[in-house]
Amino acid sequence: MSMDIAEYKRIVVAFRSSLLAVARHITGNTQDAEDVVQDVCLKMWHQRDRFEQYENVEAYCVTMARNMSIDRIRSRRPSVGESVLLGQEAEERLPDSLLEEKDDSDTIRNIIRMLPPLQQRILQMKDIEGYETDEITRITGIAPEAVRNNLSRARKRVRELCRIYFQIK
Amino acid sequence: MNNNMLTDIHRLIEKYFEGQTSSGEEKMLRDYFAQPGLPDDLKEYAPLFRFLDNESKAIAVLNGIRLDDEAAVRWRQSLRKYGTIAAVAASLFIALILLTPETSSTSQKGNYVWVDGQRITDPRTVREYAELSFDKVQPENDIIADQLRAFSE
Repeated sequence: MSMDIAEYKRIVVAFRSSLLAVARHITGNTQDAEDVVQDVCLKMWHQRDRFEQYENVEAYCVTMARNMSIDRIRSRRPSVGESVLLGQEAEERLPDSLLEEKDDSDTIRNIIRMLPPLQQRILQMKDIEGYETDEITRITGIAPEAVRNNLSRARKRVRELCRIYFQIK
Repeated sequence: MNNNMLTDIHRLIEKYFEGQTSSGEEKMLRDYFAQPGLPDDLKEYAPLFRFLDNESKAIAVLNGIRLDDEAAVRWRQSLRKYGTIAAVAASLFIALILLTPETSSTSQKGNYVWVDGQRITDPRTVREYAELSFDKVQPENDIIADQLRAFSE
């Protein structure tokens, strides 16, 4: 039986401190550790239908946290300039790393992370955190028209990369 | 599925990619793409809207847990701070009591006497004891007077 949102919350609360401890130990940084734990927990939710096949879910999640922490220290976040460049390159071709992803959800998340920082932030706020455009305007100080333009560009770019990915797949 | 609904979905998708949809309209799209049996021309959008639906649900839970954690940390910090203040205040109070000299060694209020190991505070009882004691003293005075008288004779 697939887990519901209440069960998911119970599991995250139970595992969170051990996942944070592992991630903090490897990354040596609380912010990176929080990001890793968030990624592990998101993965947990997207893979909830497959949970029954794991004998020890906590051990599986701790292993995931360890691997993601190691990946994070291997490739610390690129600077803003590099992120923008990465985003521009992605327009022309789909990065090989995306084709190696096993999960569609990981692929789409990584596609979103390839967006230029402003587009990424606005898409995140609108489509994932559930803010309305006027709230984003108030929080970021960006004009409503600019918010809509960036959001539109971000969504179209994600659609384009998803199309390429799912066609190749 | 009727044509009107499909037209609405196409219109909403167009609006979505132009950045013009409200949160309510986006929820309609997510609910629509969560269903099985989508028309072929709309199937390509399903992974994206399903991802967004899943991701936003999980993020809401994770943000809630993180806020609870931060509130618990703040609570522990303020508890530690106020605990320290209370401990210092208690120490000062005890030190004040211990270091203040007593103003009088007879700090007990009221009158009392000790008779045969008993503390008597009732004035009438005290008077009775005193009179009894004086009565005992009187015959002794008489003995001395008799002896003096005999000596002088």
